[in-house]
Amino acid sequence: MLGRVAILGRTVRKASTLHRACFHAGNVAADASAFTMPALSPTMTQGGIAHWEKKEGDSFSAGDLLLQIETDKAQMDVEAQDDGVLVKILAPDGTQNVAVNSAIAIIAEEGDDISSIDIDALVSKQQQPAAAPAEVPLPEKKPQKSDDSSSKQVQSKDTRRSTEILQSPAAVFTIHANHIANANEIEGTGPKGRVLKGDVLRFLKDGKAVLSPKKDSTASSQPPAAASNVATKSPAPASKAPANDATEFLVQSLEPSVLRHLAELELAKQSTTVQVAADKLLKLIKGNKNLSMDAFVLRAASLALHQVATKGSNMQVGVAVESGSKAPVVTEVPDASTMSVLDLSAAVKEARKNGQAASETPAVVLAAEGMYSPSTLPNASVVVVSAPYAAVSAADASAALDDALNELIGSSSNVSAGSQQKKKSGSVIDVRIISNSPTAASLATKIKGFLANPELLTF
Amino acid sequence: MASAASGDTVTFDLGDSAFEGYNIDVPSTSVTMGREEALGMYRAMQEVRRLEMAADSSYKHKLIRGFCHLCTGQEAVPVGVERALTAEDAVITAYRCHGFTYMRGASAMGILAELMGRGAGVSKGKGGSMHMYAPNFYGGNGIVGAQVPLGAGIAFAQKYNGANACTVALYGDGAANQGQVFESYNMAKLWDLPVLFVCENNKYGMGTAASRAAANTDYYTRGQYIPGIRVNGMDVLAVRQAIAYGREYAISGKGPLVLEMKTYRYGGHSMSDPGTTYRTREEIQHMRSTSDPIMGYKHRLLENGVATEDDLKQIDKQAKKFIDEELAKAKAAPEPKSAELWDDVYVKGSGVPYLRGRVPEETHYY
Repeated sequence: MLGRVAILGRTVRKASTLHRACFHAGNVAADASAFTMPALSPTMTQGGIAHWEKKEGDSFSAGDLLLQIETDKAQMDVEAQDDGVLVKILAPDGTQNVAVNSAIAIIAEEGDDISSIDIDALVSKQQQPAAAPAEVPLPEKKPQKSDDSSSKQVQSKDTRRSTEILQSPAAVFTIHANHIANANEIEGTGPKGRVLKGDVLRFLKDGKAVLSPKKDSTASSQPPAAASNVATKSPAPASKAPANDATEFLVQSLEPSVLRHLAELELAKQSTTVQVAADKLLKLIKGNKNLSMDAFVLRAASLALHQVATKGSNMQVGVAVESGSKAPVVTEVPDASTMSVLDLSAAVKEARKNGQAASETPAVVLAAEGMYSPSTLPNASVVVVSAPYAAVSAADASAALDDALNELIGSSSNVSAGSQQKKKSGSVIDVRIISNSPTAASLATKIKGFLANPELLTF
Repeated sequence: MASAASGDTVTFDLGDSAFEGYNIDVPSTSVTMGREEALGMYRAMQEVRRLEMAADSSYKHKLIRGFCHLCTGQEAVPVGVERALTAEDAVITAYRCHGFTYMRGASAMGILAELMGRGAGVSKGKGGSMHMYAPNFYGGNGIVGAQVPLGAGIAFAQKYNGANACTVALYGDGAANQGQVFESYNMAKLWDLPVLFVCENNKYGMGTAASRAAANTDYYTRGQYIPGIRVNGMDVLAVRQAIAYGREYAISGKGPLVLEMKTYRYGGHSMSDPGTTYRTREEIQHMRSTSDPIMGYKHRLLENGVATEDDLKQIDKQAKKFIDEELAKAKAAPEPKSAELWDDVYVKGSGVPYLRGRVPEETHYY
């Protein structure tokens, strides 16, 4: 806009013909322009015209209040940036919902010939340039648009379906623990479309889950590619009916120590344990290097089987041999009931070294402690013999406690009395039968009887 | 108001109210310069004004987003400062920096493109309004008052390297109360650093009037042991004269100076500030009509016979046309590519193997 001629400062401001006579060059109409709705705050998209301060034909100078605009937040003033003349008001007082950047008036410079202004051309010219710059940066904007999280999720969900389902470890566990068969239908709300535990729980709550029966829990526990290798069985029963609001969800630890403990508990449920006075047995074994505990136990088990089991059923016994990370290999020891203990010792040693896996699982398998877990138990009675330990009677225990207390308190009077009560305690072994068979208890008793009197086995 | 437009030089008389000294003799109020130079300053001020108006209208059309602090009304300071310095001198200022960036050599298209976030911008579209740089212009700083110690540091480097140059470190009346400014005063005076501390006092620190923020509003005396000069910051010739005087003082090894430019901004603190909630529109209009730097200088030029009315109107038109063209070029410039986000974070050769984005998934491996 042209500057005002002011020798003595700004005193005259009226639009008068004096200024029309000013020297100016060029095309007058070209200096007129459309005055557009300004965005008075970054979030403003439209506003209403509250009140025009200037009338059509008024001239204004830079800094003058032109109009007041009503936004959703406040009523704000719009000042003129430059000197000019308000030629025509396109959006009068009270016009609502005027979009930002749309023309609301025509302004021209001082001294322009107003009649020569083509208003429609100016308004349409205003609309056009708005489109052009927006197009140019658009191709550059596309790669940035894909960073938009909402669209990315939709994208990623589609791509993920076809390639890989991302599940968080907690989600994997919850799916397993609740035996959800249609886990691939769970919608993930995590980053990159990941399925989170909350998604699984919501899935269950909405009743969309199809739960597989508990029997197949081991088979269905095939984790998806991205999940961990732990396939755990839930000690608490999962509901077989379709999930309703009352469904209980499992919350369980996946710590290895906890899992081991749970496995032990499982085994304990299926075990029968007998305590055998093993003094005679240990004396025999100590006396002869060629005799092993395993042989005696196997002989006892075999004989016990004969006495306990029904006719025609499997009478074989075998030895479980460690085979690395896989389940122990069961090697059959044939004719255990008829072999002598010496021969049996040798046979067991042989079986341990070179034994082939038994084609048919024997009825009783001798295993070491911790060899089997609830999921790897063979379809047999597993006998586990503990190491010998000293049997302690209640009297011995209380005497030991007294001794300890006396030491602490330091009264010398009771020391001699306590020490005299020390007796020689016997050795004891635990024989544990892990079996689902109903005959396990009687089998255990028989084995106990044989092992307590090992001379019965030495024929 | 004696004038002498003989041949190619012209002498202006600034009047007695141009300077006030604190522990120092004020510069001479008689300024002599070439005619071309005199007209050039008018053109420069007009271009800066139009540049800021273009930024204002672009912001209102949502082409510029974010922060935008305009120096409409303060044009005399960037133009006056630049015209008193050489290219070797350094300038550092805060976020009202568009005028300085332009005067220090950036193109108007570069500045407008930077404001609009285009790749052709002076900071490749990645800096915006508050991070613009030019040769020997250290920005463009967002934190209030942070640039003053930096300015002292630049002066330190200049002295250390034996450069025959000074640094102009500008800050506002609001920043003048910041602690690090006084730390800079101390170091500069202690080591005689060639730095000019220039306070652009536009009477308002954001929306707070200076009298409500400062116990001592004579900012040119705040240096205490540093001599100071108060300058009429709406008079481009006074600004130029004061900076030239200060530059000589500093480069000769006498140490720093504190200069206060009494100026005024017509707009609000930034584009989100209407500017009328803490002052009246009448006050703004009054300043516009009585103290406008461009009008005042125009008056001077006409009085001294440097140019005619028409010459100046021509310059006005040319400036308007020039900035309009630059704005059109900036509007048409494309945005930078997304991959460029990771460039220019470290000086070439001292980079890192990877850089984290907003979230760990956005880590960028170079």
